[in-house]
Amino acid sequence: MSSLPAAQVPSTTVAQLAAELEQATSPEDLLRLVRALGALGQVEGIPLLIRAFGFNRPAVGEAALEEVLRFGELAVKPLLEQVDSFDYGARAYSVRALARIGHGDAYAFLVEAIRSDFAPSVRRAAVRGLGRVAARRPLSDQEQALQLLHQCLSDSDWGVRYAALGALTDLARSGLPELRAQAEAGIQTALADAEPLISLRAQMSQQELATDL
Amino acid sequence: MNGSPTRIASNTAVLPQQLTWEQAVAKLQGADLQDRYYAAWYLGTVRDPRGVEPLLLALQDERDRTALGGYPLRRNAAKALGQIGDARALPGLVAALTCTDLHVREEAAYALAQLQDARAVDPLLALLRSPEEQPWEAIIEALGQLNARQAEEAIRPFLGHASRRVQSAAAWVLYRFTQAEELTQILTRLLADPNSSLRQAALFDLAESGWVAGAPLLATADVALNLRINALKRLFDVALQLGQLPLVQVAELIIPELDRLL
Repeated sequence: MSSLPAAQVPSTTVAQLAAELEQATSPEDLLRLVRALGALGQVEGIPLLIRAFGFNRPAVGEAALEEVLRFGELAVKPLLEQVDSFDYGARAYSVRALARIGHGDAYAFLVEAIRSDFAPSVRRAAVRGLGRVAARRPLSDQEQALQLLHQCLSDSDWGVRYAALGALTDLARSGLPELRAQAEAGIQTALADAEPLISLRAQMSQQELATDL
Repeated sequence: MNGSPTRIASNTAVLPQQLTWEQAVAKLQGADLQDRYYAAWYLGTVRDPRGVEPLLLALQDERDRTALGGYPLRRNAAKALGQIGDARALPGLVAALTCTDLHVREEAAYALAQLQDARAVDPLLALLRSPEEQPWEAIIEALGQLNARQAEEAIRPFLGHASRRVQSAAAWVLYRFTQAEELTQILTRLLADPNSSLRQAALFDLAESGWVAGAPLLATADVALNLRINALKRLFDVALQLGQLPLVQVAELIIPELDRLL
């Protein structure tokens, strides 16, 4: 993925890249440094990558997201500690990272974001991750997640409804088997959604789940 | 771009003041210019067809004037009539295309596109051929939304217009009409422009074009996340409306991109 393999920059440390990041202004430099931090593969670089979510350059944010995801579960703690409560744009990238990693520790944070974050991009991302994250939690949390996802299916934001379908598919597939029927029932109701995109996504979810059996 | 200091707060200052329809109409016909301007906007947001008659009167207002001779209330009234989308507004909006205020003509063109009534095509096409300065982007986009293929040759010269926003509008409309590949190149070049507002305009123009194969470019554009998501949704709806590709193919190209962003 990276254009700058670690082997070519043996002397570069996280501290050096951090200093360069302070000075960088052009999107090209920011992108290069984000890729270098990811290629270095040191956990000390994760907080810097999370900061890059807030540089207000979507292309840089997307690259930083990719690099953070390479660290997998190691990134969960810094992501949760470093959520930007002021900049919803940056917050959406943090929530997307947590949603993709799918670690159970993100559960309470995602539930709170779905219930009370005002930014659609943050809520959509939190909803999308809830199925994957809840599947790693005990039954009571999975039941709560299921209930919340059912509510999301009638949200006024189509993006939340769309994200809920992906999450219900994840929960049906990876959650406790006794909840699968309820998750599938939610997907079934979305077939009747007034938005063609939503009913189509529900059909695709059903097909995905049918091939599992 | 920043959010609010606490995660749960939203900006209450932008919430609309709740009015009944009667109150809104009374304000629209009252003496206070600011109240009238607000009421016109409000009637558009609630999309109540009972607003059509009072808004058509506001579209001929003479009292609310700017120092440069503009008609702010007329601009808002035209916009609101578009949002309501009632065919009774057609003659009034066509007449507004000859208003001396360019912004009134601009709002009238967009409103006529929303009415989706083919009777608007000839007056819009006549305006496009006008020798005077016109709201070119609005006129071209309205002709595109009205699927006015007879406008193709009149629109083509605007691909070379001095304004890149106008070029972009002409490119998406002509792509919808012709599916000519070189038009997508104009749009993708603008999508990579250093100017962020131009990138944003190109993103939504690509969505309007209905060029489904461009979905990955929309998803990876250097534009805010929520806008990329909304543009992909718009591309899906446009493709569905145009019906040029089977639904399965549209889904195969757009759904994976949306899933990547959500």
